[in-house]
Amino acid sequence: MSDPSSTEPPPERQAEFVAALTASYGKLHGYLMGILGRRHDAEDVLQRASVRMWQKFGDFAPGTNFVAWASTFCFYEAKNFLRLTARSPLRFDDDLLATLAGERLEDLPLRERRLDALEACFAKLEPPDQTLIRAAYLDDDAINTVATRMDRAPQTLYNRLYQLRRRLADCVQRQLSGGIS
Amino acid sequence: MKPDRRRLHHLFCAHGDGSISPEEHAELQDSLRNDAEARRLWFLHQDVDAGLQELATNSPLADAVAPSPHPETARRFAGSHLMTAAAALVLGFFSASFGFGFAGRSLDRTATLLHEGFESGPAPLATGVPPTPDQWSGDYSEIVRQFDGLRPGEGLRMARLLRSDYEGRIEPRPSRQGDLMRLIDVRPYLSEAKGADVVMTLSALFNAGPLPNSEHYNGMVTIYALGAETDLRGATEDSVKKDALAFSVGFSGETDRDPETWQTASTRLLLPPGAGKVMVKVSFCRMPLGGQSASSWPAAHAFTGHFVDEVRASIRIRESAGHASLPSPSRP
Repeated sequence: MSDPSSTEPPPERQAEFVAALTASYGKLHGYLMGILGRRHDAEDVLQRASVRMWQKFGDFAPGTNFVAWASTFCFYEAKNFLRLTARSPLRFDDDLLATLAGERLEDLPLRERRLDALEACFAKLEPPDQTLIRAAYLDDDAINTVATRMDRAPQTLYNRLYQLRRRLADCVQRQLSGGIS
Repeated sequence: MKPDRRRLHHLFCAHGDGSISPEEHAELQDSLRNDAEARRLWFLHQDVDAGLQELATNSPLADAVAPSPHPETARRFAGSHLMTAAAALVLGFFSASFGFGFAGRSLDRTATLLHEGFESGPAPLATGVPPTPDQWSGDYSEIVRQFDGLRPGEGLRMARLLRSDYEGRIEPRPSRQGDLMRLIDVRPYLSEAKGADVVMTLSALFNAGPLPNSEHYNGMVTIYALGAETDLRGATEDSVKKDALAFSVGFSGETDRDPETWQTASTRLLLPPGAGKVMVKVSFCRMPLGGQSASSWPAAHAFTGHFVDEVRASIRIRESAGHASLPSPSRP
């Protein structure tokens, strides 16, 4: 059948955009996580921002820094998101948002190294702990299912999950600073 | 003064899962505003969170609550890379895509719309766009067990795409993409959402047998959000695209040449107001090499050994505490 995105711009621009976005998706998602702090929010904002980027892709100069260009769309879409969810207690104020956005761009080169380290740290966890983490991240309701199966209180597993994430964060930090994890 | 890491970690997690209290949120803001080390830990925490999501998503343990994965399955997925998550690109009728707002939330509800391992049920039709829900249709395909040593991602069966066309195809353009599609009625879920954001996710596993070096393929998943009254009788993919309120596409990245490893494509879409049905599509697309023109390819492409398995779709309603719960998910 026909290709999925053949209606708007010329195909060669679509391919170029998809390639640029695919290559930068992780960094842009990480950038938004650094501002918003919630995975699903970052995904939703990036979805909206990617549409804006697509609409303005004609302004992007090939060969320049796509992440830097795209991050401006992400930042303003994140601000829009926070403005629209102002009733939420989770909203950061504009000054903090700007601080996080600026520092996160500088911090982004560390992201890949952290993720590589995380893979190694995760591999060192006991299989039941790996399973618990996978369950929690694959399905929002999985902890309750696992708790029922194990005849344990969900809060016990949530507490365990928190501990594991903290251990992993510490392990990643040690690895990046050259320590032994 | 060094920040209290344990306390910060608690605040980060509480912020992430929506359980943070107003007092804790104020404390978190103060810490982040005034302490560069706290901000550095915040970034670290976010990267760990995103990385764990990728590890889970790229894992074979889609049924992660299972007590122990089959070791053979785990081995076959060992080739998955942490950082190969593909971009989800949302295109289509942008004004409609932007017409819905963000909802504050403190509780998410999810339900499974589809979990298809092709283990049972009728074979997919080769009649293009399915006009009615709960039936696979699309291009020529078949359900197979193992094929030339390539085994299903899960279970005993998988779908094999055969060609990039279907019975009676009349669309004028050449085709290099083989598709399987399924229509899902999401109205029961949307009626429960009562204005909250509804996010749909779709993923599938892709694998291919040994390929000529001259051929390159990408696995793709697509979600089309359609109006409740959209009539798909006689529809083509082009007309579906025109009728769609929004759609999103996710890519697996170029398919490797190792039949032992499966690759994942996933995407997600915020369903816009007015959506009542969704069309999910899983596809293999032949990619042109640099300088190569797809226009010189034949009108329809024959796939030598391209497989899809474990198609999963779920819906998430982001609602406020005390909101009605989702109806029981239906499985095909």
